[in-house]
Amino acid sequence: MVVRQHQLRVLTPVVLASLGLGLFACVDDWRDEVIYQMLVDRFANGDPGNDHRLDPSPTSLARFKGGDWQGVIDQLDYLEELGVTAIWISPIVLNVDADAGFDGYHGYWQVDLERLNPHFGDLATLRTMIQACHERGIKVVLDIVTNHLGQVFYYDINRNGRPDEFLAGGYPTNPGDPQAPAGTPVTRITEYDPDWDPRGIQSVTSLGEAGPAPIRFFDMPEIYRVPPRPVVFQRPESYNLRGKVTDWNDRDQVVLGDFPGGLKDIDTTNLEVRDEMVRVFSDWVLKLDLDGFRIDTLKHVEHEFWQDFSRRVRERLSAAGKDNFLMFGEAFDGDDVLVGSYTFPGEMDSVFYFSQKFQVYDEVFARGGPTANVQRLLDQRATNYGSEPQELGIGISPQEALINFIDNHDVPRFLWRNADPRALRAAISYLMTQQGIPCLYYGTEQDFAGGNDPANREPLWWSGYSRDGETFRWTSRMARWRRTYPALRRGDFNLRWTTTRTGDEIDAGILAFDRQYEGQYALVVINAQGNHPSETRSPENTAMTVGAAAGTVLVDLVTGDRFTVGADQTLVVEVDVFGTRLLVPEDQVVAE
Amino acid sequence: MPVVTRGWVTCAVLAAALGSVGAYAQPPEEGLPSEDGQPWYERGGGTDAPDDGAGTTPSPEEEEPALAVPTPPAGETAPTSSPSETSAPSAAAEATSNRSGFFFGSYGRISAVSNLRGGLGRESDIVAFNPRIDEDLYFELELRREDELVGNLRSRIVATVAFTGEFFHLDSEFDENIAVRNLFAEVQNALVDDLSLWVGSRMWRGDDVYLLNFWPLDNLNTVGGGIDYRALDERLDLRLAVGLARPDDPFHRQVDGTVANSGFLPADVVILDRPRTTVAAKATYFLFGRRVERGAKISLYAEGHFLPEGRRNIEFGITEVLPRDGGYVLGGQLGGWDVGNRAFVNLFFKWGRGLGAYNPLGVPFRVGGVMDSSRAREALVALSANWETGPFGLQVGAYYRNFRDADPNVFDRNHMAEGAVNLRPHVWVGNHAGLSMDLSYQALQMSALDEVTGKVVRGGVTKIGFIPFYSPFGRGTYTRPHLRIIYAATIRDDGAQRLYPFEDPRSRQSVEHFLGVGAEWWFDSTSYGF
Repeated sequence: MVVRQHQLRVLTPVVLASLGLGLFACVDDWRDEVIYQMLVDRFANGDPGNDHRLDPSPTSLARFKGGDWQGVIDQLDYLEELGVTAIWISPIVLNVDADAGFDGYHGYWQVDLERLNPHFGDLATLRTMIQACHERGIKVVLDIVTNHLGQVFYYDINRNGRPDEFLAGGYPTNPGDPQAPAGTPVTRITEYDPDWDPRGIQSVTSLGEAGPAPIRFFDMPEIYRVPPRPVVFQRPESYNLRGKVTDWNDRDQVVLGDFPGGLKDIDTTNLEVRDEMVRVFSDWVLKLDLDGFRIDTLKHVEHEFWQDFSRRVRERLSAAGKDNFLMFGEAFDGDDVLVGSYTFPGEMDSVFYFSQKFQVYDEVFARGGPTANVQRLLDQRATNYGSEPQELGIGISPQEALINFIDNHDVPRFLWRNADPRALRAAISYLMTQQGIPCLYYGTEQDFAGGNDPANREPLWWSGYSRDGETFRWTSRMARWRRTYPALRRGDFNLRWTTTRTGDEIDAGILAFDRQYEGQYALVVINAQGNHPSETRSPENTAMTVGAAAGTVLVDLVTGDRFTVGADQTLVVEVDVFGTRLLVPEDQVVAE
Repeated sequence: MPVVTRGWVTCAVLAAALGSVGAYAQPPEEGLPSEDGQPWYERGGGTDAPDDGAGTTPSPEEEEPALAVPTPPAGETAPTSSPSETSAPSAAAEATSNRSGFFFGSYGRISAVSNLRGGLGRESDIVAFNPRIDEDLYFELELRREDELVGNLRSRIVATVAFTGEFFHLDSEFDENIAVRNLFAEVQNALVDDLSLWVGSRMWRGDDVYLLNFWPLDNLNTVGGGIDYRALDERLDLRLAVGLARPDDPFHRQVDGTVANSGFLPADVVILDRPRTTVAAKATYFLFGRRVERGAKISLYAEGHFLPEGRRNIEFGITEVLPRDGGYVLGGQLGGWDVGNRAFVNLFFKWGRGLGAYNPLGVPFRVGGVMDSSRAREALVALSANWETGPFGLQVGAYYRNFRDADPNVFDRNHMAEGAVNLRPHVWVGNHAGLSMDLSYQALQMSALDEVTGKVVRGGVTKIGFIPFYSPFGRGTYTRPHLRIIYAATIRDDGAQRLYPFEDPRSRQSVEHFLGVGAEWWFDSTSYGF
């Protein structure tokens, strides 16, 4: 009933927004936000009317499960209580529904960029969802893909007009030379997803190669495996046609190759393709009043595209009155230089901080590695990441607005690496207090522990949407403190203690930093290891110095403990295993 | 004497005289006046015989012709289809005289036959229009509503359902092949006397060759309408019909699935939709009057076929233009009858070009890049005759056909000459039983060369059959029902055997048997002349 009333309440703004009357929701400062990443198919099922081709088995996580946009509407209270202020929803456009026994529930197998995926609802429902989010101050970020489409065509390598998988090779290497090797190597070829060929995929006959392989689009409308739209994607010249990436260290392959699984790589240097990308994705923003893009597979597209795309999208949205539109991307790579390279002028407002995910959340919090990793990464940030806000962007430099995350839909969940939920909560503490924008993967708050894709894509309803779990409550508390104390959101960031020690040492696992913003101060001390309580002093008894003035009384918001900063601005605090102390000056404590 | 014969197709008088009667209205012997003082063939009533022209044999046929085993090209199969409309609308008009109400009619034939080798007997023909002694199951059920209105105005609604294929008791499949063959409304004496209008789906046809189960001249199955008019003191029949046919084949129609605008199920999109329009006209003149003991008629016949340009998808991104197409048929018929001798003869001539050379419900051939039918042609001559005297009778059916399809190939299995001759003498034993002998020869020659013999593909089939029968309504070649015992021996020459695939036992059988029992009936059906 609540949902229906809510829908009625937002009806008027939906209609007005559709008329372009400028009801866009705008974000003041993206650092204030807590993003919650959800796979719509797995978050909540609110409309049984679109439960098409569901596989109810709890083990078949590669199949549709039924989540939809109505489900998001229904669970906004849950999100609000968790402390979420922005949601990142999985792609909304029509996808190839099924391929090789797997479903396109995730949304990354695009086939029509201008139509919605009916599994998740219709335009009215999606608009209603976004308006409902906006009414609660929750922003909506849309996941988009410009690098590839779903498996909409095959390479007709043997030119028989149908998709095949076959063995080829053994051809004479030099028919006229008796000394020539007997034959070329025999290899397995799949026309759905052939291996990389820098010349472009070649057709072959029993006598050898026979020139570039033609492509043929599938015609399977029952699963939306049809020629893609807009129509520019129905032309072979809109694709790179070089086959599947086999060497991820080969930059050409990474940029020009098909994504494994037969996802066809788009030629993003094609100006018509670019025009359509800008048009269709900008249109979605204006039609839906979106607040940001999460952009897939950054590193698989050339920088020139991002510079062009980002600028034109920003210009169009700005002209339409949509400001502070966040564009951040995914460069799934541990190379900090590479990840940061997309944040220089003209490109992304931000990126997922993958190098931090690997070096800090995995190495430090999950595996008990040295917290000095944090310092090392921080030292590189000024070099590797853009220091100036993008023109017409969010007004914050990428260095200050990195998207921090513990895990996501492409990597095993934290608890799969370290089953101790205390470690996870310690990681959440850092996520919510460090510089940048926290992004929480759905289910983390419910202690989900799935491994690699698709095991890490559990339906959230398995949890019963419980709000009583310790991790849920901890996340909620951390989000609330973040909201309450602006230093935790916008403050500068000063590391006060990290260590290379990971054993029995007194400071093993200690990560401490303080943040200050317009006179507000917060000190965070985390023990990232689970072996023993640690303190903010070295084995040589050198104490941590902090930014607070000597004599300042700091109150630990977690425990209520009080600490006084020493005369030399030193402070020694003990933190329990995987514990967190969130210390603010006594006079700045806000009553809860 | 009431006017009871108003059909477009002429000569039915003799056919009626020859005994094509309803099951419940035995025609008087020898054409004597009936109880009401009218000659029986002019008497109204739904159960009487066709009224309108000698040679109109009441022998409806199923849509699929009994093809020669080596399947003839589609174009050749066309003319054989469909039940006769012989004297159709007008005859029904006669039927309506003096009565209104619902009426039921039927045509049917059924048999249980062995091949004497442990299997079912089956057709064993090689030409398109083959001797019917070994024909298949088929029947029609017809329901009509007929009304007499003010003045001469009459109307009727006709619905005919036909069944073919193997029936449930034979194949255990609880389904049948069903088709609606007629579904039309007709008004007679509309606007002016002797003018009839009809609209609907209709079998539109003239005289047949009963022994070959074949309508050589006018034989249309369309959805449309027509006008019929009788003039010159009933000596001249004029018929005009216009109809559409859009067979569900890739030449006429293509439907592609696509992603629907909403929801999950794909939507169908009609890509190609080009119905063929057929205009047919026929004029028949009765030289000595329509209702004479000995008469003659001459018919001229023409069809025009018009098919608009279309475009169909070959695969995504590749479309194919099907150019505008057309064709015509020109034909004629000479007929004569002698009621006293229960005799008639009909001679048919037909020339078709382009689409007119094909079955209107068929798909013109396509070979390579041949996209229109302009090269196709068909020439046909056919004969149908009957003669009876005392206990003896003789039926004759024959045809010769030369067909060439639309491609330019000189040596081609679709470039052929074929024909058949069928004689069926019979003798009556008493008034209700008789014995028929069926003798036929059919032959086929194609311009293509046989890779085995190095000669043109050809074949010949001789059939010898005997049909003892019982006729409860008495004598008459066209009296029905008949209950029969049927035996036929089919003798194939080497060429005929080679027309079958090697794996088919008939490719190695020079003789095939057909022995069983059968029945055939017709009554009160527009399919054979009302």
